[in-house]
Amino acid sequence: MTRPHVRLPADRDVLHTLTSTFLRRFFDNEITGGSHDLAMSFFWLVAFFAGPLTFVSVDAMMHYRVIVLLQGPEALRLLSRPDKTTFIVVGMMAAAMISALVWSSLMLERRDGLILGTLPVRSRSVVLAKLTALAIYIFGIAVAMHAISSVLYGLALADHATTWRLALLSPIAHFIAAVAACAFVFLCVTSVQGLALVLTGPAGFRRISTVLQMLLVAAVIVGFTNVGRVIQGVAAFNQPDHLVPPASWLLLTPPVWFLGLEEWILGGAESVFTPLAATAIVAFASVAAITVVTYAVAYHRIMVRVVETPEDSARAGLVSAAADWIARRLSRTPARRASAQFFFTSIGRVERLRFVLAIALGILCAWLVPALVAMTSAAQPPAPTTTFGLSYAASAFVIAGARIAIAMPSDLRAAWMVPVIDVPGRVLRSGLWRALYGSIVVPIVGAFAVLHTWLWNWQMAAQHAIVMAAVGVLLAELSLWHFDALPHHRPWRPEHVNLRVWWPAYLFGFISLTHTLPRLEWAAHESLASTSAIAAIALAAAAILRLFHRRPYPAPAFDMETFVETERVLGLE
Amino acid sequence: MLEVRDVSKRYGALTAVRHINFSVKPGEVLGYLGPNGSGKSTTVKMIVGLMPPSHGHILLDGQDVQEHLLEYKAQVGYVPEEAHVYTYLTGPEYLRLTGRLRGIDEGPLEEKIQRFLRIFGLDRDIHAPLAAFSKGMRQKILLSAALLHNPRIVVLDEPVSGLDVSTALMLREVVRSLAADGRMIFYSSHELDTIEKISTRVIILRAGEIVADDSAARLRELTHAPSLEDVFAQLAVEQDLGVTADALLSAVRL
Repeated sequence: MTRPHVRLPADRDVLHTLTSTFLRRFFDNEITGGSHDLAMSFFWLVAFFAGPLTFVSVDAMMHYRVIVLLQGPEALRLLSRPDKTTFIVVGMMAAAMISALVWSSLMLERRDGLILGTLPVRSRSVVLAKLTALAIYIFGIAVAMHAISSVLYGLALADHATTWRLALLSPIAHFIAAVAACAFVFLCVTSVQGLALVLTGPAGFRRISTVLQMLLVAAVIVGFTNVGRVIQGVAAFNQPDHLVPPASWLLLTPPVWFLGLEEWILGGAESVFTPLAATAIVAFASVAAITVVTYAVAYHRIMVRVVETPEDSARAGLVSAAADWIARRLSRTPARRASAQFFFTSIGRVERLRFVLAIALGILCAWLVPALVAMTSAAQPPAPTTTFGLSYAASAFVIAGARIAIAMPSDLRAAWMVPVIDVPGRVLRSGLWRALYGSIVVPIVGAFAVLHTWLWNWQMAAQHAIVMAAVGVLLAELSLWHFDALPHHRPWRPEHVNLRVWWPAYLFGFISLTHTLPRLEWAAHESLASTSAIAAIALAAAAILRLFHRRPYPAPAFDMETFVETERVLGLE
Repeated sequence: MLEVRDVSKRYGALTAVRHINFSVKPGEVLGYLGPNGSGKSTTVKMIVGLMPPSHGHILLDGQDVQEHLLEYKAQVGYVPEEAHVYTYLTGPEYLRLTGRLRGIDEGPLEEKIQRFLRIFGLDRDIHAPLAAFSKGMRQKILLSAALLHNPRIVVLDEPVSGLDVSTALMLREVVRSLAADGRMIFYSSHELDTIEKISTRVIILRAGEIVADDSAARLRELTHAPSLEDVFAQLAVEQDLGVTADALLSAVRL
């Protein structure tokens, strides 16, 4: 069949070509969207994490000299372990944040099947190239984050090493452990993605992708809040004057496994590090193996799926039906319904919008879950002000997330229809307000009403629900301050938030909402009139905001040049 | 010669195409027509090797393409209906990617890329990512990618979609020239006028089955229709167009 002048490319060339193409894809995901600025912000993020690590290294160089002088080299061996843990844990957190950011790039995608499926390229070459690109990416970031700090920190350790072997091994062991810990996190994410893709299929994976992203963000936040505990736990069993066994929970934390790996490479005398190192190696190998296997299986499934089915047909139907059902119940006015429905369907289908919401929900989970777990395990019911505060925080987080998503465009090329149809902005805003209130405030009020009834009684639950519903009106109103249009159709202008100037006001507002208001509400809970007064004040404030908002101000003109420029920046198609 | 023998394709319970037979000889332009959902895209996907038939065989020079899929794909140039490309690549980068994956040596590849970009008027946009390209510009890149490796079989699925008139006219000439050079051209489109002008043979598909297979002139003669459009309306359009227009108008007036 082969004509004399037709030849197939060499596997090595295919691998090289595809690997470099896939590698670039990691810097052009749905979130960074091919923009130079956003891609650069990715490198800044890596630098942001690498910076403090370098600072810790420089600090250690001076600090360790004092320890050796006062307590001797053996004390340094023990006292340096919390610092080593800091390196490892910060690298792991950074890797988790970056993998949440480049979530969509880590897996095989539909486009690969459509473009490469018609070319004379073997499936195994594609899978191998994708895995090679993934490995280069993962280890590239890990090395970039740890290279300078590892050398400096390793030198700080080597400077006081008792033997030449130890002096040589210190930077190497530290570098290996830190990079392996970082890569372990990436591989955990890719193995979870791969398993989910293989188990649920391409369509199912897209459905649960947001939930997984949300859990990842929640895990990062919970991780950050517990970094101190882990470092203190390591410090506790490494005191030179009184050696104690490590806490059992500590041995279950991945950063300590990789600390074990570092100490094992260095030949640490304590027997506790050998099983920890073994755990680190087994865990690393397991997630790497799962990633490799699931990539191969997933590629086959994606290839079959992309040519046989249109994109997301089943899911689109579900999202559409759900959005339509909710929108119909929120308003009878067609334009209001349109605004609400567009908000719901865009959130359901546009990945960058889902990612923003996933971050908000992840923060919410990290905030709520530990508090709720502590509540259920405590002998006494919690203070009502605690749960009141949680309920307000829940509303604030999700509304803020939704508001950021509203400000982000879905497809700027389609934005021409808004000025063409020219619906009054206040009607669109009203639909959006109802969407926010109906889909965020009402469910949260309901959930906390159930919780409060269970914890105390229905009267208290009802009173809080009244206040919360009123405060929800105010929050929704605040979130849409000076927003008078269809959501997701304007260019992304984060500078309008002006965080540099307004952050004290946002912080003050959040503290008032989650601390002052619950105390005020608790103080007023015995009198229905007082509770009603709080609710009335919130409603009055919302009404004033609405009144001021209705003052006419010039609507932004449809500016195609701005749209096209933003589209270029965000890489929208 | 490319032969499609008794080919059917099922997606679960749905049969997209059933027992279709045709062949494309070197130098022939086969126009493939059919309404939406008639099985055109399914046929194209099978012909370019994206998926195997559920039944029957696709043969090139008498050999089943599924048995030598890579060698077969190396001889096919394909312009898809939807312009799926890696949008973060520039035009030359995308062509370099496809050229290298097709095993073209660097020297001739660069020369070809420069020529294609110049011919299609894209030589000023060599640094722009495909994300910034219009549909027509992407289509030109896909056309270039399809022809880059000097294919024996050229499969065009709605190739003029998004192209400006002059490029569309140029494409017609290109297709004629490619056929005259001995290539097999499979041209799937809704553009009846283009199909009528460039095809040596026309196949009309309805509900997954071939309802006509002959030259445009012969089909007109057989159906006593003045144009291919009328032939198509007689053979492939199931609904009464007048009734549909009335129904649409009454829906507008609701």
